[in-house]
Amino acid sequence: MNRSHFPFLLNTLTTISMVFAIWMVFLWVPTETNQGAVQRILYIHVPIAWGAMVSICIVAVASILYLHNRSAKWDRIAVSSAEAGAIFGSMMLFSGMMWARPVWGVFWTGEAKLVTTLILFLLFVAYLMFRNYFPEGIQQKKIAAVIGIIGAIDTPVIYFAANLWERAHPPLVTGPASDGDSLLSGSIELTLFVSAVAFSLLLFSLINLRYSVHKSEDAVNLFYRNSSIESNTL
Amino acid sequence: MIYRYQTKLLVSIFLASIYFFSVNVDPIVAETPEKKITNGFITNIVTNEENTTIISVTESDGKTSNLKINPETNIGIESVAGERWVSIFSEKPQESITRLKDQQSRLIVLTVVHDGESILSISNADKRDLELNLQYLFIVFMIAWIVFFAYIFYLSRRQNAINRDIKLLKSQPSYEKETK
Repeated sequence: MNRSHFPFLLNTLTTISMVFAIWMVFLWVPTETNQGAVQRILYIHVPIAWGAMVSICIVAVASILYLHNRSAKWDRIAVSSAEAGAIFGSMMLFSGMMWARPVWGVFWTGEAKLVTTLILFLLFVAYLMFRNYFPEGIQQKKIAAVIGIIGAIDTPVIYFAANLWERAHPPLVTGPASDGDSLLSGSIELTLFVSAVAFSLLLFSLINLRYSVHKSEDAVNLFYRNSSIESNTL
Repeated sequence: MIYRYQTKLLVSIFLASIYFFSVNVDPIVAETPEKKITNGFITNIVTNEENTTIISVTESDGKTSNLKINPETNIGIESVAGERWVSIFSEKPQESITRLKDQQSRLIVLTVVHDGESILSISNADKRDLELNLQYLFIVFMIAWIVFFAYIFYLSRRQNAINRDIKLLKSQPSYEKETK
């Protein structure tokens, strides 16, 4: 496959899977009898939360690789992933609050799962603020990489929080860390899976788009920098 | 040529599908032949000689359904103080009847899930009204897609700006010197 075809292929796959996921969420899967229509928020909330956690893991891995070989490519991947993660993180909190209001009667409770999720969002914000306000250079990239690596520690805490400190948030009912077999019915589990695939592809599309913008900006900035050095030395 | 218009094409397909699916949403797909949903208030509670409790539920259009409470019927109702009480009928039959009579006296609208004859569950309608909760679903999907599209739009504008810069640089003689 030609590398220039990759973004088109990724975007097309994202669109097709997202259209299919929306069809399943609104038309195919039956309404859950206990919560009614509001339960359909699950199909956007869970995949977005998954995307936010994947983002911080990508930030951490890219940061480690950047610290190891100082390649600008890994730094660009970390920044792109952090930006997409901040979008996913904010939507994760928002969709969770919109689900909690009719089901729990409140938008927010101070339990571990919610607080650690808020911390993850604030970590993304802190990472991006640091990148924007700290003077550009190797030092900025190195410190940002360390922030990204520390931020990833929050991910397993969020993932297991509902099982470790059981309160209002539902515990893990599906996936590798759930207790025993999945407690979700077949249609709900399948819809959730398709939605998770669609939102994962959306995440990778956003990271890819941000990465290409970042790469072009770096190339132009490098050209301007070289030109100014040249004109100063003349 | 297709690559030039790919973003517009994909966004158009996506928006068209959202429109198509949203106008086709059926909010009462929760109902199945085995599970029917009735929203209404209790007009009568009687226990017959066979010790079976029958509840009359009247809907807003005046239609009344007489439904039997089973030992397995789930009950989740709120007291006048807003405290939620959850039980299975067979565990606390007397208290269940007392609390349901309280709901009847206060004309509280309840959601009854039943099979046409027996009640599977009975709970306060404000937690289960499908149409009431649709606004939350609408807000979540609308805001989420506005945010995602706004971000894609912002990135596209940045990409266009950088493309203009590159085009401008390429037209300058210093660029040729730099790239040689």
